[in-house]
Amino acid sequence: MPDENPAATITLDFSLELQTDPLGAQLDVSVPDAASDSARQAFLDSAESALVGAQGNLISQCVGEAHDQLASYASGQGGYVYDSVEESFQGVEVDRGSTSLTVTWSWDHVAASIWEFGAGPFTIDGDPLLVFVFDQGEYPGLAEAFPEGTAFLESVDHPGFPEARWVRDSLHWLRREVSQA
Amino acid sequence: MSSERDWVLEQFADVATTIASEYTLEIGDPVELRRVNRDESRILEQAVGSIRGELQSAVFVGATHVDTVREPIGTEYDAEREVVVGVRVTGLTSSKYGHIDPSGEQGIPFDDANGGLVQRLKDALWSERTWPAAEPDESVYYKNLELQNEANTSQQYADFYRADWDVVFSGYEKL
Repeated sequence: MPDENPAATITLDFSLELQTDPLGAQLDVSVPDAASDSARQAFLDSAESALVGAQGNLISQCVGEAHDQLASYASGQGGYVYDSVEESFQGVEVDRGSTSLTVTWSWDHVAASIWEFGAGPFTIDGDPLLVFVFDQGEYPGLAEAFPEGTAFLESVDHPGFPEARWVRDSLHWLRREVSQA
Repeated sequence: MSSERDWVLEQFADVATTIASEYTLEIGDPVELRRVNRDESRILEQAVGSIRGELQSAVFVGATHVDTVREPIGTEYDAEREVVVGVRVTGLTSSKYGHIDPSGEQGIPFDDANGGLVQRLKDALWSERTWPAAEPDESVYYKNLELQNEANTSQQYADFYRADWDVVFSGYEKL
């Protein structure tokens, strides 16, 4: 929270909530007590500018933090392809009311939430078969059964995912930034 | 080693005692709350369906150390310190022989605002929100704690209940 200015004490209320369906966040900024409506609008203007307006604003940095953590999670898991999760970003919506400002953002890919909270081991069943084209040098065991380099399998056991926390940790980052502003 | 994680799990001990005395299963046994160190046990990282058997014996609450952030203050030998602990609660409905029952008759309600399990666990933390004594040693002291990133994902499952939230400890550390 900003230091109190004895000449004009104004409180900005920040409320940042995780959303789960789809995965994302909602930030509410309000000015509960202001000396005048023009003072309130001026504070909301400056908050809106810092959060979503200016170049390199806080929300785009926060989304960048999330994408960075998603990328390092994906490479740490052995190179998951995560572009489609990143590209499922729905953009930032800003709703400016008369006394408050609401900013929402989300990712609607189904894996966004699965990676965020993690999942235990599971089995993927083919319908009726799963078909994989693979590199014989990289999977010599599979190449013995399928020397052509195309595997036909009834099911695959997946070891599961640890929780990535890529969105939750980005929200902690944003809270720290806002509390220092 | 995370004293903050261990402290969170300690706060839940009284909740376990209280709900065992207030709620019973259809067969007459008390509702059981089991506490899990998620940094040592993987049980709460499993898919809920694969721990159905465990969830028939108890409701589980776990805590894991997520992050420790230090930010130096000015040029003094002090730092602001923030520690994040992740909490996860998982249960199974009493109709599948678990310990959760929204009516409270054959188990404990999960997320009922009045006396539900999630509310009791959060209250146990909220009641210590000023000066929580979770510091690892005397170089650290905490001013307060907050609960953040609340996520109830129960609607993804037919028979299971799950909620996650983060406990954020804020204070200072002498370097």
